[in-house]
Amino acid sequence: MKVFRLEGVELIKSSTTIFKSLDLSISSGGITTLLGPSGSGKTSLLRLLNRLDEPNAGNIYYNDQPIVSFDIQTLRREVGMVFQRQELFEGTVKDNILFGPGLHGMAVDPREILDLVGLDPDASGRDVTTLSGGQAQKVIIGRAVAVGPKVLLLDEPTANLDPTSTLQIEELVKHLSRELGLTCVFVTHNVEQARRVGDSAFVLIEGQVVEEGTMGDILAHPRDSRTLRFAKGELR
Amino acid sequence: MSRLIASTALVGIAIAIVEIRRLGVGKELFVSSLRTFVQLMAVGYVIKFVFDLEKLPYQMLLLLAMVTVASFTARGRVKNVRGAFGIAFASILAGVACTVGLMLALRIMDTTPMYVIPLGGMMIGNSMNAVALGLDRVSSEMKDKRGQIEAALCLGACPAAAMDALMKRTVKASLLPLMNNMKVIGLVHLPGAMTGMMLAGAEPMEAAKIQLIVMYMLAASTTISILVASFFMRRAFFNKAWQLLA
Repeated sequence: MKVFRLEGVELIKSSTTIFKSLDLSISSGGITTLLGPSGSGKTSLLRLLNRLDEPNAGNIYYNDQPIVSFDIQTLRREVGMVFQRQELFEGTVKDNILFGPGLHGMAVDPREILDLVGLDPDASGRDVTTLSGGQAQKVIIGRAVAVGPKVLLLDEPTANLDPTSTLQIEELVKHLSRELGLTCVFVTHNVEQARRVGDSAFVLIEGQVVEEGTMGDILAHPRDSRTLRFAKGELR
Repeated sequence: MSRLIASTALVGIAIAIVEIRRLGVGKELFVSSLRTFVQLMAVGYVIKFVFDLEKLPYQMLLLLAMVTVASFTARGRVKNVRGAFGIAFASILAGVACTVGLMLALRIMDTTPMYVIPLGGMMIGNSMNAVALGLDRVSSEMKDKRGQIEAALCLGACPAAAMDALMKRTVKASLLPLMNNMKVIGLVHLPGAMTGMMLAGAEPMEAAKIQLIVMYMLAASTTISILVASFFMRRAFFNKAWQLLA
């Protein structure tokens, strides 16, 4: 079962072609990593998957139905997203956790969500400005999970974190995928992180999928010469 | 007339001082003073003409022209708010129309040009300032808070809900000058209408009552204008698929 399928997707932003004719299928369940150097189109791809942006041409399918056939609110509730930049709303941790459930009339206990993401349930009254980077990212993930998504798109969620917090977030994503049955799409430009986190991976270079499979297979038998150069840090 | 000529001495002294001190604004002050003279004299003749017509439709036409000029001014240099002129026009017009309508219905104001034009002008001026502040604020906040708005959209928020916190801040900031004015009125400064009436020989208590009506009128029209503006501003940045426009 494919959760997302892209066929001949073209995306042009500010006169720059991001994707010319992108074909890609992401399986349901587990963690799929999107790996690639800066500017390869990883973030642009995620933004297409919950319709923050629209492709110029081509088709995107969600659960085998055209993505445009879904009610936009339903789609975004099912396909959550965590951004690279930590975008917390003003107020307390609880305000952030309950923002989504409040929109959809859902009864959610913020303490349970905090416990789920590995934060102290008593932190729900804390002002978000007092949180560390790692705590803030956990609140953001908790906020996304609170509306009960089926898919979670994570755009370099550890980009601004220290090594300890990075490992904690990686473990949290694996935990959520396992416990909640969440399909996670995890964007990174770090090969080691992709190896640690992902069940499967896509390598995206210059808007094209150049590799697909497990990280072990990709690194052992790369199809594109640029893959190893990227893995060695020669492509950034 | 002799008093008017004498008053030019006041601005003359001001210009002389800035010239002597070489502050570099003498020429601008001179031009501004000249413009003030020309504009006020011209508007005096225009209003005299309208007062003489005494028909409500003509008064409304004049108010509409004033709303149009105010809308161009309120739009200002705001580039990233789609349809800024339309938002300003609709919101200033709504504020003035509702308040004038209510004042006529409650017989607070006569339909004579002597009331409609000056009071309408005051409302338009205040609404224009509030809407201009609102457009400017929302324009700059949209650059900083784009990520937060997209984060809200990703949780299933509609554009209005995603913009809610930003719009509350915008409305509050736009009404701040009016609120501050109302807080200190009579304590820090005597407002224009009251001062004008007393200079024209009215009793201070009578002038105070009229000023009170003017302030409540401005509070109503300005608040209606900025609320209508915020309604349209919430939608100005999105397409039908709830995507932020570039």
